[in-house]
Amino acid sequence: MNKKRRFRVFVENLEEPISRWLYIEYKNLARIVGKRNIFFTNIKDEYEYYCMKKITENVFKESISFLSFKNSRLIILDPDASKSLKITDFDDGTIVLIGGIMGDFPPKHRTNIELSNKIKRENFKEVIYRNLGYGQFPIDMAGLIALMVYKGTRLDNIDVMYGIEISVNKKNTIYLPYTYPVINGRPAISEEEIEYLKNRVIEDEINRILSKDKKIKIC
Amino acid sequence: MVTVKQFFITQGLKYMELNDYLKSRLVRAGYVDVQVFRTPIGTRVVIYAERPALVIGRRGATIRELAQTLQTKFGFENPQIDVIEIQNPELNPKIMAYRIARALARGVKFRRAAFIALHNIMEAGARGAEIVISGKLTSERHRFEKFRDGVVIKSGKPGEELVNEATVQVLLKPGIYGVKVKIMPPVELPDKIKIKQPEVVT
Repeated sequence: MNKKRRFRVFVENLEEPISRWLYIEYKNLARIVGKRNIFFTNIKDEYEYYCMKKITENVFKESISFLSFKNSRLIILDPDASKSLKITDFDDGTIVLIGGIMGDFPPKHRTNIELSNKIKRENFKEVIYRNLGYGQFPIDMAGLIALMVYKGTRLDNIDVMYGIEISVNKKNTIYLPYTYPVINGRPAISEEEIEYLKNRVIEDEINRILSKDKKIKIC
Repeated sequence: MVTVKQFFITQGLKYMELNDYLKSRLVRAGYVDVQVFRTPIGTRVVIYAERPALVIGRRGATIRELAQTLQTKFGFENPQIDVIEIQNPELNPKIMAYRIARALARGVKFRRAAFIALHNIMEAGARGAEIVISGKLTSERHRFEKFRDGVVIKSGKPGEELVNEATVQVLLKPGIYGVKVKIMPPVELPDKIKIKQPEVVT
């Protein structure tokens, strides 16, 4: 009998502190891949650790470089990788690793600098680097694309949209210069994220000024 | 022998260097643009600025120093500098972009700076305006925020000819912010139809 392959996603948090926007994306990623299959590493702050535990039980304070999975192949999703992700890249117990980075435009290649180059190869059966095609994906969308490929969709057959514009009011719009997969004719961005950008981002802006060095409530 | 192509490239590079120099030298004077004309008696340099008094300086000290620099650094023969004041600075995208950039550097919130600038542009009589501020605005993720009012034509000949555009970068603590301003001045659009009054035949 064939052993059932398990899809596991690790997210190495590289942003400090975790903002509410990032937290919403982590939550959405957990919804997409399932709470059992998502693992967050490098969550050092106590309050952030507590909040992340609300998303999933699989939260580690350590970085993935200090964790060992000798029987697993590690796929690092890195936009700078030369090869694209394929279904054949997955085998029993494959781990997909995503960098928990909010992103710059133009990209600063932080996944390559802060993640790909720091992974200890001896801690895994094999380490491979794969890209998800052209463009920079948000964290949750990278997880969604990886899941779609894992389920058998070819990367070329996934429709994507480069940049989305969210209307806040009659005079103000927000443009996100990132790549989003298109599902049923609309970008797969979560409603919670749109709601956050429309209404709560200003509130966070004010809180940031008022609280100065104190932590902003994320959960 | 200098080919036509080389001649124009050299001219373009010279203009770019001059523009960059004046931009940094006359930042407080609200520098907008420069034009250079060759005349039989030397070179005429026309500087457009928001505050010409600051370009001229006390008893013409700044302008004399500037003329000296243009002669030695840029090789202009006998430079004659004219300073022209921008009549309606609120309708000039470069001035407005610089004003927003300066406000951001002083710590004014980007949304407030953009809305004030938008209001001033519309109050000055513009048909429409669009301000785009990009960068790590209040979060770790880069995004663009667009603020618009009125009508700004984006395509066709009117979009190319009637809309004025300027981009300015400002370096702040989270990184570089970009400020792009598009202004459609109060001009008549080519598709406007005028109905003539019937002539009275006597």
